[in-house]
Amino acid sequence: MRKRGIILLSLMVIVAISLVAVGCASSGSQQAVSYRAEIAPGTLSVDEYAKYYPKQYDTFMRTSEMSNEGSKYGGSEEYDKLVQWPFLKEIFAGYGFAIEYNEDRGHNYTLEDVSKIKRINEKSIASCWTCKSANISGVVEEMGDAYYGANFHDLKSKITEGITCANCHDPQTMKLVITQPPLRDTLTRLGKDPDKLTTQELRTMTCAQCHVEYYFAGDKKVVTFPWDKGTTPDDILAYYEEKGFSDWKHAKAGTPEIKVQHPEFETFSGSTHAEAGLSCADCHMPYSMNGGEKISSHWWTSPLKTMNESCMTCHREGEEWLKERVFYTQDKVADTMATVGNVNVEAIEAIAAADAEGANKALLEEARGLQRKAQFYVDWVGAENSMGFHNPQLTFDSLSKSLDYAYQAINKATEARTGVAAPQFEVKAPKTNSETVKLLSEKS
Amino acid sequence: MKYSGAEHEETDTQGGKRKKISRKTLVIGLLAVLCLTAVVGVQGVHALTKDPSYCVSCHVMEPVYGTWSHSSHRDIVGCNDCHTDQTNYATKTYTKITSGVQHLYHNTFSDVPDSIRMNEKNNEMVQNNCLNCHQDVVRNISMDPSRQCFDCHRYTPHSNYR
Repeated sequence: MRKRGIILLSLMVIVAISLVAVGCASSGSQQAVSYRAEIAPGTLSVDEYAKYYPKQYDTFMRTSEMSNEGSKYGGSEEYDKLVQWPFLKEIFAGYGFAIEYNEDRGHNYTLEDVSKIKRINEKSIASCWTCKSANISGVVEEMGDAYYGANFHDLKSKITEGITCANCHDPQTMKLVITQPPLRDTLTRLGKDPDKLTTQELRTMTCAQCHVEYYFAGDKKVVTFPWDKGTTPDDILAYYEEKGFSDWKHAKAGTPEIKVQHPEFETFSGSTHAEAGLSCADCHMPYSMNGGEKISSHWWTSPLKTMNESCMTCHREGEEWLKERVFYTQDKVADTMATVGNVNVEAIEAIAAADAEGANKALLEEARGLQRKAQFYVDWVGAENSMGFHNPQLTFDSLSKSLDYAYQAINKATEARTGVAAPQFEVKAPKTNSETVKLLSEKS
Repeated sequence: MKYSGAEHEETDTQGGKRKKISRKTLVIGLLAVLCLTAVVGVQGVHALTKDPSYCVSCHVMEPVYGTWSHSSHRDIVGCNDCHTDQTNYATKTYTKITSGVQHLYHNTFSDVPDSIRMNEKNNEMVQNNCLNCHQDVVRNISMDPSRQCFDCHRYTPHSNYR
């Protein structure tokens, strides 16, 4: 009896320990999303998605709001950038951007704004629809590369939707997806599978479907991202130089120029915030509480309007203090860009004046080559939407390169006219302390 | 009828000399005592170390204790609720022992850095502990597995300390 009792007791203890060890395990199961609809593949209309995701839809519709409140340089009111930055009208002479160039409004206005802008004329190509509509991936599937070079107005009947949920979401799973053909093609060309990006990568790359520098490649005018050498301004300029690509010939300087288009993704890459692991969505689509649940805000606008959610989760300092830090950067970029922009105009004028005087043709071509580079760098900063905040260091790097090339262009134009070369001081600096010490030890 | 066999056995034992305890019984008995001691011991250590007041008995923990005690988490969760593996009793005990031994070592030999950071290998564990309570709030959010709540909420609940 005692023996059985001991065995029984031992068994009970072992069972008890096992139960404690195993039985107390928390389920740990991830709760499913509150609601998931299976919307038919190919659904493009926002209204269809709105039925199932009303909270996200409500924030999405706020892109209709037109307000500069909170921000200082960009905003979402439509106003004339050529008045804000007079140098732009001069550097774009002979190109559409000198005719009409406005501060952009929210996603909801893409079709309206592209239809009324004076840059679009009867010869404009369909490529201009590419980032304005959710129809494009379907249209490209149907027409192939012939779409890009077709007439803008001929395609109008096919463009039924603006930017919708379908530009970034798989309708059935709502997972993020790259739909725009130009980014899909570019990533594939560079050996990266657009369907195998991580969620955090997609939270940036879905924006990079459009918020990037592009050009119309070849006779077919295919929208192409010039990322083959990398995505820094230096890499992209090197790419264009190698291709000998130009968007238009400057009306005054006669320079074959490059027009830079909103390189937000490229500028942000390598910045402090990007290196900290942040995506575009972390600041521009902050998680916001809505009925006891967090959703990603779909009101794409300046984070200066949503500082509580966008900035202050990480940065506990007060809103006013943080905003002043942003303006500290933006004010300096704006001041510097204004100066650099004006010097760029002076370079154009110098080349035009030298040309009018019948200056040395070869030297004048050199001056144009320098002016082309100067303009590329200042346009990079002017076309980028953040007044430098996306990457202050890279922005000032671009502005300093622009200033340097612009003065070199002026000097070269003067040389072409007078035959007198400007003084030059081109001694390579050792820059780092270790290089300097090495140089000193070699000398001694 | 059922108990007749047992009765018979009992009678048998009582009748003869007191039987020696078999080796098998002894081993099982000792194991049982060991197990009991282990359970009582482990439970005792858990009871002793469950309060944040125990953690702050080492001076180096004062900043994190102080910041936590001024946070909204103060009345809800203590150190262990976030910093030990809450999967089950065994995992909780394991993380407590392994962390405790390391803390003891570093505190004894005074090589604690000025800025104490959470060991990165514990990221997932703490992340799961965040979700233990806050899962409902974030159920509509599809977060990359490489990202943690405290990547952004980096002052929660420790102000300037993690």
